[in-house]
Amino acid sequence: MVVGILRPASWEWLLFVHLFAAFSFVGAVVAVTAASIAASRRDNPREVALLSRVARRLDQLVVWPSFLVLLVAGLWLAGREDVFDRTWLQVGIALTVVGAAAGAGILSWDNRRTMRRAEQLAGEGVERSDELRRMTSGPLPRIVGPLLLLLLVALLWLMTAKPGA
Amino acid sequence: MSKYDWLLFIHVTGAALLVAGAVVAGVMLLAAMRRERPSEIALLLRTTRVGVALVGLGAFVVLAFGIWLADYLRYGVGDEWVVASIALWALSLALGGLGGRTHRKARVLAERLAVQGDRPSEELRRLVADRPALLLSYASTAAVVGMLVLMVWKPGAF
Repeated sequence: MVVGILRPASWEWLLFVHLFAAFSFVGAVVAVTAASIAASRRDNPREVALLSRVARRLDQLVVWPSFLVLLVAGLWLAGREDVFDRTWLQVGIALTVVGAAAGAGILSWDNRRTMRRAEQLAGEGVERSDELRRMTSGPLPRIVGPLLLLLLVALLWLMTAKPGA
Repeated sequence: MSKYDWLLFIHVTGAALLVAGAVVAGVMLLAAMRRERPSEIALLLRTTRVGVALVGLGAFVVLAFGIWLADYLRYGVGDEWVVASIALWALSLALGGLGGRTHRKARVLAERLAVQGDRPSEELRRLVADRPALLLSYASTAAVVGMLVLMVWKPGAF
């Protein structure tokens, strides 16, 4: 709190960029999750392909660029405030790495796989597919997606409350 | 964890929900503008309702806890930057709501056309890409960014 109030005026641009990127990132992750959940409730390959494509585009155009900006601005801020030795920041960075790995390594891969199969089935003129339904309602998006959102809430808590600071 | 920490955490979470809802609605609308088939447009516009619900929840939380936080920090609800933030909050919701009315009409039309042969319609295309409605949505987004600017710089506060 004190750091927030006493932060020099020249740092405010950096804080604005960090917060803007953070909100864009959270918004895009929620939108990707919403599109994935909507896809998991459909069994028409054309509709699943459409929603998966929206999720994929968002992933490429907003999630990852905003994540990079948020990370760079966050590390820059942490450097200027000299807080790299604080537990809340170290835990925050560790959770960020875990979240990025889960997001990129599991969810993005799963979404890409679903999108390709849905496009293939739609191209063959298939109207309903049980195989696709199994793919979209599988344990990966159902477990990892909500876990990732919980992780974001935990990160938000660490970055605002800064426990132990 | 102090009372300040809780208030700030819930206030920021409310802001995140508000922005997340706006992103969900905006992205689905932009995707719908690129489609021709009414069933696809209906599917995307139906998903925007999730965004609208998040905006409603986030808007309530961010305002209630924002005022509580300002009061707790003794900024005063009458301070210029607080008044300006509340004005931008109201403006953002009003503009977003006005723009959303056209898109709600587009969703209803798309759902009707989807069960009547699912053929592309010029009327639907115009309604989805309605320029005044889009401008209202962009202005609503700009008001949200304005709120963030006020929260960071707090002009007039010591």
